[in-house]
Amino acid sequence: MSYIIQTNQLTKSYKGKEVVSNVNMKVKKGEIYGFLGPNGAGKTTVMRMLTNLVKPTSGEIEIFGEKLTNTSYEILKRMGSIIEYPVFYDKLTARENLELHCEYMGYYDKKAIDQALDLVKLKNIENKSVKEFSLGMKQRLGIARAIITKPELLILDEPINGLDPVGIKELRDLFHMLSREYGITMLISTHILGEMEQIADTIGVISDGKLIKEVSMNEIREQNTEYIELAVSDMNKAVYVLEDILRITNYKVIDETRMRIYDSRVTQGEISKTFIMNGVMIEEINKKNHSLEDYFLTLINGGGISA
Amino acid sequence: MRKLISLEIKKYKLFSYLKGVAIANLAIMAMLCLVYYGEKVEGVVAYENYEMAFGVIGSIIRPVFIIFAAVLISKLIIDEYRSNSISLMFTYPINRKKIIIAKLAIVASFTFLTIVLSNLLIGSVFYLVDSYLHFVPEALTGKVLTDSLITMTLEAIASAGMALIPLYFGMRKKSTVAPIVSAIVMVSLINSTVNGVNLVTFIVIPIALAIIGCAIAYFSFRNIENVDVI
Repeated sequence: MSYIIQTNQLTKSYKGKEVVSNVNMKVKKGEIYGFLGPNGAGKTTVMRMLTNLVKPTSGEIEIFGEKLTNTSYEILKRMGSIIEYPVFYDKLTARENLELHCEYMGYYDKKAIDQALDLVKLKNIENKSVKEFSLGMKQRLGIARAIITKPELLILDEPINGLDPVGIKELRDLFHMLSREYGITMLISTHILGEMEQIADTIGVISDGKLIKEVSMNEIREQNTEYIELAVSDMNKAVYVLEDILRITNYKVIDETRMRIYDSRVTQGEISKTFIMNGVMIEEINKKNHSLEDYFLTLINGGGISA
Repeated sequence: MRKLISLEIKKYKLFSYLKGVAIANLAIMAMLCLVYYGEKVEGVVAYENYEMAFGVIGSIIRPVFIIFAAVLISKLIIDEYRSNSISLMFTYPINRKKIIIAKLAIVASFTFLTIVLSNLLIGSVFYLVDSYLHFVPEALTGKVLTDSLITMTLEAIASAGMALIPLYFGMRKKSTVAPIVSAIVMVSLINSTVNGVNLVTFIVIPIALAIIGCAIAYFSFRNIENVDVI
């Protein structure tokens, strides 16, 4: 397996305080890697280190199989990025900004600018300075700038910030397209979990500067994702009915009245019927998807305790 | 490097500053007229000879463009840090030192060129006007002309170095005002010491300051590859 990004015990401290600790992250070629974590977990710092803006206190970064050093300028040619929020030269127009970008990147395909603006669906922007752009438009322009040179690796920090639902959908399609058609590897951070679930191939969860989990979406999906949640009047009786009559052992008691059943062999109807026949009142019954959100929250909370 | 410089010029539309340079030149000429009439009212001859005239012209031009250079420092370097576009610049596959050197080269060469060209322009206009009005008692000799040209060029070089000193004050707190203020303070200090002091200080001070300016530029960015950009 070839990795595009590989970090080894990556650590960064500011004034003696570790904001990123011993991160071992592996991003495979061609995948979309979702970087998840609460605010202040260290996502942006990691991304800054990957783009060489911030230097690690200790540990190593390998990108495209090469060790990243203070003077690894050639590697930067193969990357596109937005860190935190896209910065532009405000007084110039979108096109002028992109032209400058291409010049600095050493990329001279004249059609690329129109193509990139097209891909992010930025229209009617001629002769308008970037100062007049809305946050969403700037975000789109930032993505256009990052993809204009068709880099092998895209590092996008919160790319869907400030976009409306339609815009988010468009970008999601764009990311898919870039990944499938151009084989671009992407590292995308966001705190909008639902989005991540739909585009990422692998999820890395960071909390308190530590990478607490790195797992493929397929693996998450395979885990018990569906369950039935019940609110019952008498928990003891309910447990008895479950175990001795329905012969279900894969369940979990949440509190005095709530329980979750993970066994997918029995239907909701069967459960309610058996419960009622055995005198257990059901106050509420729901079929739920164990979403990435739950998964994520469990991880973060678990991580907090073990830390 | 030439590419980087031309990109900087494009990025900040630096040619629009030429308008400012032209206005500055007009203002300097107006000031020379004021000096002339001011002295005339008091019954003194303002420009006794060409050596003195060129000296006055130069001492007005230099401060103006050193301050102008401070504006450029604010714009090209400090503002790039403040607006965080430096983090964009540093994701380009270009040596960071080269990026900064390109910017400083613009500042220094701008200072040098504007000082030299303004001196030539205003000096010529002064001479032309004098050839009609004859307000300078002594005629312009070839020796005075070459001497003045040499001093003027040396001072322009020194000023180009000096113009980098405000960078230090700007970089300390990434303030765009600090370079301009420090430039104003610096030129007023220099001009007040120069008046009537002997020739050694007249040359030594600018050269020392020029060396300090270059040292500041060097030390500000010596470590730039190891520094975090936040």
